[in-house]
Amino acid sequence: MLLLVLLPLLPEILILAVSAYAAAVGCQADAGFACAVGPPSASGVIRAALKVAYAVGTKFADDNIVIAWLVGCFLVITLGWSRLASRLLLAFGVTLIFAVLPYFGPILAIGHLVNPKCRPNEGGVPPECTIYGGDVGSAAHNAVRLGWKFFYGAPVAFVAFVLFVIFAVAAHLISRRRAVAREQDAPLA
Amino acid sequence: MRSNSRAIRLGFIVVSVAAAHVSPAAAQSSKDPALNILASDLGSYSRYYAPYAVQSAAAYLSFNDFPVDKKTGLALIKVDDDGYGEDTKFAIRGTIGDSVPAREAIREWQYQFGNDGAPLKCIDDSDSACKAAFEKRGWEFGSGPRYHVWAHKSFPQAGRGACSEVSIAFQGTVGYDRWDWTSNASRFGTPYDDYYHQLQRNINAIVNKIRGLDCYQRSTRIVSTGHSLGAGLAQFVALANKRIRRVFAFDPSPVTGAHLIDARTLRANVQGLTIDRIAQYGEALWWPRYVVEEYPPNRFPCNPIVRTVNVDAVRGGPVDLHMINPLAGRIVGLTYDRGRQVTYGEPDIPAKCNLTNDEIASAGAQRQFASFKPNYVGNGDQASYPDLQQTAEKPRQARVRGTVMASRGQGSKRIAATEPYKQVAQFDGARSFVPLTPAQ
Repeated sequence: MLLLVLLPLLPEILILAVSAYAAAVGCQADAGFACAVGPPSASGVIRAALKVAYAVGTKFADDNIVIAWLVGCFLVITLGWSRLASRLLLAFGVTLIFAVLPYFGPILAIGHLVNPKCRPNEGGVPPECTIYGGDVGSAAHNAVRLGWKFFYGAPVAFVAFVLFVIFAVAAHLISRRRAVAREQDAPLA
Repeated sequence: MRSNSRAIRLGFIVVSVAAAHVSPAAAQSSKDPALNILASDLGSYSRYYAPYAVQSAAAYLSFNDFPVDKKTGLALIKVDDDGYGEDTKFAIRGTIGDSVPAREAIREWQYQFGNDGAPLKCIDDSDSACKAAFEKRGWEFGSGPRYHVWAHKSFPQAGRGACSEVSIAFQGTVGYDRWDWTSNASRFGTPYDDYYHQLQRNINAIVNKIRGLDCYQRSTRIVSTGHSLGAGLAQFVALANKRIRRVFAFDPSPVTGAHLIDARTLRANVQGLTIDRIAQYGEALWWPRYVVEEYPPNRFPCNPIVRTVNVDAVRGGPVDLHMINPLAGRIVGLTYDRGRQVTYGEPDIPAKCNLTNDEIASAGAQRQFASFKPNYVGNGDQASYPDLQQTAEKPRQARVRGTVMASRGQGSKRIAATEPYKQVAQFDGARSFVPLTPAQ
């Protein structure tokens, strides 16, 4: 379950991990020189992660991958949890995550890296955006614009949740009715 | 089986009702080319739109480094030997890059003042209506709308000349700023004192500050512009203040803030208003503007005129296309053809723009008004805003003459800036505008 939830958010997790490592080794986001985090530079990793996060966000919203992903999560919840309240609560939590984070995750992940040399905005002005000595550029600006996809993806996610609620409640009622019927049919001990 | 046929019948009814509501707007929009300017025709009007495109892009830049006159609060701009201001050079270098078309597009404009994100409480300390609205504000907000005010002067710049036009350029969303995104969600009724609310109580003071500029004349036109969220704010201030008569909205947000303005004020303020929604085809907000556009609807024929201007500047996905730089760069680029500046031209007034108020209302506005409710009692209170009071009582049909919107009647009189609302109150109804000739 956790894997299903975290997989689409791996780029954001990677950005947070890289920036934490960079801070630990004394790098600053607004530094004029590159910060190495192994063979690649921190800015190179962040740029690549932002591009992947952008691809995930646009796929989730434009191609309705969010529905497929939520259906997968709901399936795991249905199989793994038997109480109705647990199912609904978990499903709501997962819906909330996938209604928001694929679109706002990249902005939140780089929020603490914003500096005078990098002010990502939806206008893409100015085009360059320097983090840890490297130009992250359009990837950072795209992360901001991706936020608008929330208005595509979130309603779809909540519709999926409502459908799941109907399904879960119906399944619960049917199973209860069957259990009652079974009890009535069973011979008295 | 019976439930299936019921569902089909219900679905058919829902679709039919929806189609009945949508079709009038769709029909009127597709027929009048003046309301839907194609990308292929944009070249003819490129010089008209270019300065605002550059200003909307430059709204993302900070002009804080320019020195400010402590007495007037206005920026002190140096002008080079060729007559180009440092502000215009800074604006184009930081956005679309320095080039002859870019320089020519904005050379006659001069940066005046602005706000770099400070929350707007009450700009005018003596504004009791603003203070009353501030007392009733929503949850505390950590930021304010960022805007720049530009004045259209002569070229080369020569000190204290008159300005034919003043533009307020609003900045769009900046990524890490959660306040910006909260403002983008204003349509859904955020409890915060977001940018729309802050501007609602301060736009009169901003306009009065503009009217206090040395270059301001009776005939000076005030316009607003911006990109995305900035374009939404630009539309909002025009709907909220009668003095702002033109809006240049680039890739605009579907949120215009009209839900915050009471119906009578709104009805009065849209008389003679022109809104140009200039957008790259297919950009991220293209479809939301058709599906969840707040009042006024797209391609509305009159009062307000809402034009759609299509731009075909870049290739890419919807998110990539939602950028101001390529859009501004394309519009500015079209001002030159094979090294020669194209002729200045403004779009035509829609043929249907001689409708009565009732006709406009029946074309869709009335339906929208039904859901409006003032957010602040004090701010929607017309007694507190004499300019709104007078215009609301006497909405008049704007008249069209030539290529400009002009209302007949008396002009305004400038009075002491210490009485801002009395000053605005001099403008009765829709009579404060005289025809302007294109500055070029």
